[in-house]
Amino acid sequence: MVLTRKQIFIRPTRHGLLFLFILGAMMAGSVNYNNNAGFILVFLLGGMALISLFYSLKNLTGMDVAFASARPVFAGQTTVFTIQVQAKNQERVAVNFALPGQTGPWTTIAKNETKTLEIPAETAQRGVFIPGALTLCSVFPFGFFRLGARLSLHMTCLVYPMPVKGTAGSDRGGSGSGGRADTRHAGPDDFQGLSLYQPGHDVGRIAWKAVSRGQGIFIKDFTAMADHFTLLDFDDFTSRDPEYRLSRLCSMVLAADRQNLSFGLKLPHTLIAPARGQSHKKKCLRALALYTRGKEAV
Amino acid sequence: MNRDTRHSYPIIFALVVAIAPHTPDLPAWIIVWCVFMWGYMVVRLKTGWPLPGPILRHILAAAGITGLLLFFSVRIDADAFVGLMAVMAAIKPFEMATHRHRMITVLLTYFIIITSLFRSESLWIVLYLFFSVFVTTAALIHINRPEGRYRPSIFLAARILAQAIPLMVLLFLVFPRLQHGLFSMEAPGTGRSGFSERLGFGSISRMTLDQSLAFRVAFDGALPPPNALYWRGIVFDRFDGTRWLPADNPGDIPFVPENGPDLVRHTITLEPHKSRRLFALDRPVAAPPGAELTAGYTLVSGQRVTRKKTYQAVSCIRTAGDNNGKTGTLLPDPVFTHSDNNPKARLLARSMAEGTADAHGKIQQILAYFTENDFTYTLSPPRLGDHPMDEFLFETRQGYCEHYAGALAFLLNIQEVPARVVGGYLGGELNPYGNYLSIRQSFAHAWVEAYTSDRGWIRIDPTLAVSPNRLEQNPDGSFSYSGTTRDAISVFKKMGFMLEAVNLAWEAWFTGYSFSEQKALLQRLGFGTSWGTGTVYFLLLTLSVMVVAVFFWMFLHRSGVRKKDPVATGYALFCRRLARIGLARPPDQGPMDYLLTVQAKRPDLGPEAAAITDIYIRIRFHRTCPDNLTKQFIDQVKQFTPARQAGQ
Repeated sequence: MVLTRKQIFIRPTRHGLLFLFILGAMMAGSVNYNNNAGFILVFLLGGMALISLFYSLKNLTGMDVAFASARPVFAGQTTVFTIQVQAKNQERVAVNFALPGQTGPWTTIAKNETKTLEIPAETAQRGVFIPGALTLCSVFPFGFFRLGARLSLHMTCLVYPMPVKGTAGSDRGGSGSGGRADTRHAGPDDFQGLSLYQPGHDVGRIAWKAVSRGQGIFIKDFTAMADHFTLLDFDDFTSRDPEYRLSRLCSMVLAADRQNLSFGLKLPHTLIAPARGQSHKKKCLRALALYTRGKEAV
Repeated sequence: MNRDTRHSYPIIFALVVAIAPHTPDLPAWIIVWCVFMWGYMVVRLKTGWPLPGPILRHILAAAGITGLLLFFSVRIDADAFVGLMAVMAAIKPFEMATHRHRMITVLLTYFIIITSLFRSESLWIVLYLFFSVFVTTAALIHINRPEGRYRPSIFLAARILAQAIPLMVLLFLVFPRLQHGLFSMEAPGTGRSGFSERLGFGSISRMTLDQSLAFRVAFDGALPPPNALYWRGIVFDRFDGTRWLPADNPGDIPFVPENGPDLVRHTITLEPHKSRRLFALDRPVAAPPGAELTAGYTLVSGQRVTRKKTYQAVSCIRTAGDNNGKTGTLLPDPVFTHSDNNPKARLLARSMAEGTADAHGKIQQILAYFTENDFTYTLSPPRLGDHPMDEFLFETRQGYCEHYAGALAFLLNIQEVPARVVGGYLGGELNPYGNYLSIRQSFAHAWVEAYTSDRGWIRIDPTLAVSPNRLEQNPDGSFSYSGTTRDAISVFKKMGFMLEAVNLAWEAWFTGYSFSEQKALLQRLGFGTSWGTGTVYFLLLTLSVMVVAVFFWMFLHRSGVRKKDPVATGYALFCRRLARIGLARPPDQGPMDYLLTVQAKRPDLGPEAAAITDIYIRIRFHRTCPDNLTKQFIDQVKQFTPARQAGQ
């Protein structure tokens, strides 16, 4: 989004008001004593302050700001919106980018340069987080005027439920149903032997003893029984609070993923088939984040 | 470069530049104080010495203020004010850790700059002002830049400064000036006290080292001869035993010749001296506007001269006196005849008076007494005690002009010849480039006027009896204008003269530019002929400046004057007309739902409303629509006048 003059607002800063006051005092002195040199100074300073406004405007107009991405976070955490700012035809000095209620970075971007900036924002609840308009401002060059603009970049960020660890009796836990053993699925259950390490393998499973013996890098093979998959069910909780259930489910998804379990997720109107891995985890978390009562939102 | 260094150097430099013009007037300890504090700050940046903590900073501030109080005691004047600013500016760099403190320091620097302008408005000070503003602005820009070198800040400061100059010139010319100040306050600390109102022994010789300008004179015609360059300022006709006091100036107006070959018209630019005295060539015969001519032929301004003042004077330089005035009734002050101070001098005068009865003879006798008794002319005469006349005439016999003039006038009065001391200046330094004379404080002089029955008041300069070359030579050793030509002077002196001439031309225009000059300029441009008083003009201009400011603001916020959308206006009209017949559009209804409602309630309006809604939707929501559709839409809406009842 290219900044135009129409979008820019101008406010005097506290220092600007102080400057105005001093200028007024100088003016009163010059008028009173008919001091022409005093008039010269007052008009010079006033004129310079006025002309500095045009430099302030020039400092902002024509800048191109675009939303790049936002990292999903758990509710209550601080997310970071990544934006790309193109300076275009001139240097942009000391511009601040911030979201409402937050402090953002000050940056100077050289002519024709593109900078990637990370704007922090605090999240409160799960769902699609839409921050307020991005505010950019600058007091350059004199610090007497604050020029700024509010940009609606349609920024969104996915916020997962806050993970809540369960206490005994708060839920009945996941239930499983039987299945065939499948040795091709790596799992935490039974130690099967060592196999050669390949890039991509979990570093935590490297057989360090074998490495220290100089036999090369091996990983410990485990087999999980496919019938040991877990189904995380929305309806399995004693608490009726859906947000609590989602938070618990979120925690369980994370735990299951950490243990490299195969798990499925069952929400009203949604069923995610048991699987494992990063993309599966993200799919589940996304479903939890976007859950709305009675409607499928994935 | 760390942040401290980044911000401290430019701000300290700006402070130094702003304070520099004040150094001649600041007491030495403040200068040492400033140099020490700033020096520590600069050295600290290199060596990493610690910054004084808050307690030490408060102690320093208290010490500085105590120093000021001790030095200036309770005098609250411009010097004390500038001293305070300098003391504070010196320790301000210690607390510049935050942006706010740095900004305040820079604003303080701007304020220091203006204080220097109240001391002088010379061309150099005004040029220096631009330099000072430039340096301070570069510092201001620099502290508002989180990173970067000095160069871009310096360039930007120069550009903004240059671009502001046309605006400044315009405002300077048209900004309304008031005839009198806002508050009747005196300008702070302008000028130095030249002549004091008491003439004691030593009051003029104290001034001999003061090379500062007293006034400048430009002549309408040829320059008068050097022996006529007596600049009359103040007349002393009473003696209190140790000092001469100024005349009471009773209100009889002296004879004023309208015209004559000896009349000299000249324009004097007087430096402010905090007194009401105006100087003019001896003797002024007409008072400039706003001043009056006293019985002692001195000019007294209606107001104290606290700014540079330019006025025209007409003087009669006939060396002979005039016969008008208090002929026959003029008697010496009783203090001369009935008093017991200076008994030896009184005795001497009476013994001398026995020889001659004629006033001229008495004068010659006393002058001869000076030349025959080893009296010497010196710039540093010894101090005199309680009977100064006695000591001077019989013991020290060393004196400056005020000693000889005072003694002569005293002795003449004892001899019952009315005489008075005139204080002023003698001589002048010719600037060959500007064709004007400069009279410096060191040219201060005192001479005597005695009243003779045949010629009235005549001028006698007893100093010439002792030091005959005083006429050709100024007290500082420079030659009075007659002794020099353009070729004889050195290159530096020539350059000095040239610069001074440029400055005078500047000051004549610049410092003189005020209410009446502005009115004349505006009238020449065709403004303000019938506006009358300055107040009306002031109000009008202020008003127009405000209007311009509002337009400027609107220009910056172009969105403030938003163009109306004709289609939205048209559709709103359509809705209003339907509302009038009871079919108001609920806020939650879109155009299509609204059309359905209208069609259901009033089938007769259906086709027309459907057509309008259709066009509206096409303009608003279709990717392409013909340009003339908007006009067609508005026309149709205007023709749409639904009747209250169906079928009518």
